[in-house]
Amino acid sequence: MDVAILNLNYLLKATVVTLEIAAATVVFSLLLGTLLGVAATLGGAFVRAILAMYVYIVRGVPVLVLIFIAFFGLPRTGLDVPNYVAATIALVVYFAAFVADIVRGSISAVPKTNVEAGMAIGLRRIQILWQIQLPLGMRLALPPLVTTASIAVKSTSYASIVGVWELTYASREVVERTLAAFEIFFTVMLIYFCICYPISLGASYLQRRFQTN
Amino acid sequence: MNLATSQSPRRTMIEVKGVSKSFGSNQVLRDISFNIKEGEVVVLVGPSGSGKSTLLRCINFLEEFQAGQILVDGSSVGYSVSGSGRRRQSEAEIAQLRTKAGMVFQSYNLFPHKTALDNVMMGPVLVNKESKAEAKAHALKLLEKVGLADRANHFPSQLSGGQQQRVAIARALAMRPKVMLFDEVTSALDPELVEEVLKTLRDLSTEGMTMIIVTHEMQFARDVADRMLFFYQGSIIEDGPPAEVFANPKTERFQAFVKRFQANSHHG
Repeated sequence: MDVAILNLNYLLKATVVTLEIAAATVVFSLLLGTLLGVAATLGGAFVRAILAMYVYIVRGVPVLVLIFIAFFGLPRTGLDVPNYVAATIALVVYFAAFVADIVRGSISAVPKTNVEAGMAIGLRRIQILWQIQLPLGMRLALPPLVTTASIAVKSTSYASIVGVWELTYASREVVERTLAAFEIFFTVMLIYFCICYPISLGASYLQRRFQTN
Repeated sequence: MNLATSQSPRRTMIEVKGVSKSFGSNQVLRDISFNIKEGEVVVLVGPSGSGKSTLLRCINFLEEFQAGQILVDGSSVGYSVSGSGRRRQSEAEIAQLRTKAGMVFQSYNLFPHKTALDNVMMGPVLVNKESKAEAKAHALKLLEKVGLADRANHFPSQLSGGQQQRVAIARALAMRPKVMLFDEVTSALDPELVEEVLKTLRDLSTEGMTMIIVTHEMQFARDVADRMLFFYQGSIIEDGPPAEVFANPKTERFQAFVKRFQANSHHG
């Protein structure tokens, strides 16, 4: 494993880029997805139909294809963004759809009795959403959201295909230089695991905390 | 309050005028009409599916109804009626009207992510725009009244069914409602917890609160009610003081209902 240790510094530098893209993807897809999920809850049949279409389209397309579309397509619309921005936009578009579906489903899974209790004390619809449906729904949404976040973190490796210098790209550089494919990719595997594992840990902590309440 | 109102002619608090409601082709309320005076305690009894809970939910507009009108403290519930037409009220109007009637549910329906105190304070702060300090003082007083001052900071999951139901009663009272609606509030409770909730209801009735109680506790109904309405297939077929209704029932249906109850029930 000497070769891995020798190149660890280089790989860790690339890990920072991976972390940046992952953080942006997770934060923005959570924000956008939650917004869309709430819109689907409040909106009528039309809004829900639009959202359902978006979710179906995204589910039917590989994330890599979305990244190619963003990478080659955005410059043609006059938005000359760097490759890592294009890749992040594609990842956000992709994962926001899943988040939106999870949030909408979780809100609708909050028992009607809780909503009626809110109505009975005279709460407005938006207050019921904010005070009751979102807090209770987000507890239900937490496990699937964590799964989605982990997948999103790992999917940042696709950005290497359009030339974004992040962990996967850097590892291929190192492998080409050292020919130590197994050692390097094994190290990279450990690094990805070290990023994703705390997410799961944090999630189960949050879940335990909410459950006692 | 009870003394003051009993000396002056009591005003009408709830008016139900020709209310009909169907779920699809199933008519659950058939042209129901009755009035309830301020401070009156009215018990609705009847077999399951006879429409008593549905009517209670209509009074707080948790259910829509297709015909008729309900007035709570003079305000039309759910629909504004003018001439021959009626218009569904705005979401804001409906929310405001609901504060006049406090509702307590069979399954308590406390907000599971809020403490007992926060459950009680929520309406006053968010709807009545009371200050937090004011709402908290009032909420603590109400929790004390239902015997749960020491449970203020407990979450619903840490309370027994009877305690949760008493918190739910405090939550409804916190809105300073004109009437209280109780929808089979002891049906989900273990037998040994029923009495603590019934005691809370008795206390309220002696304070002069206008109350409509849907219940299967016949003995309690006889004790506490000024008036008993017997529902059968969406209509009211008995109406009068419990002693009178029990002594001289007008219908065989009610006699049969009471007989069955006495056979099945350990409380009755």
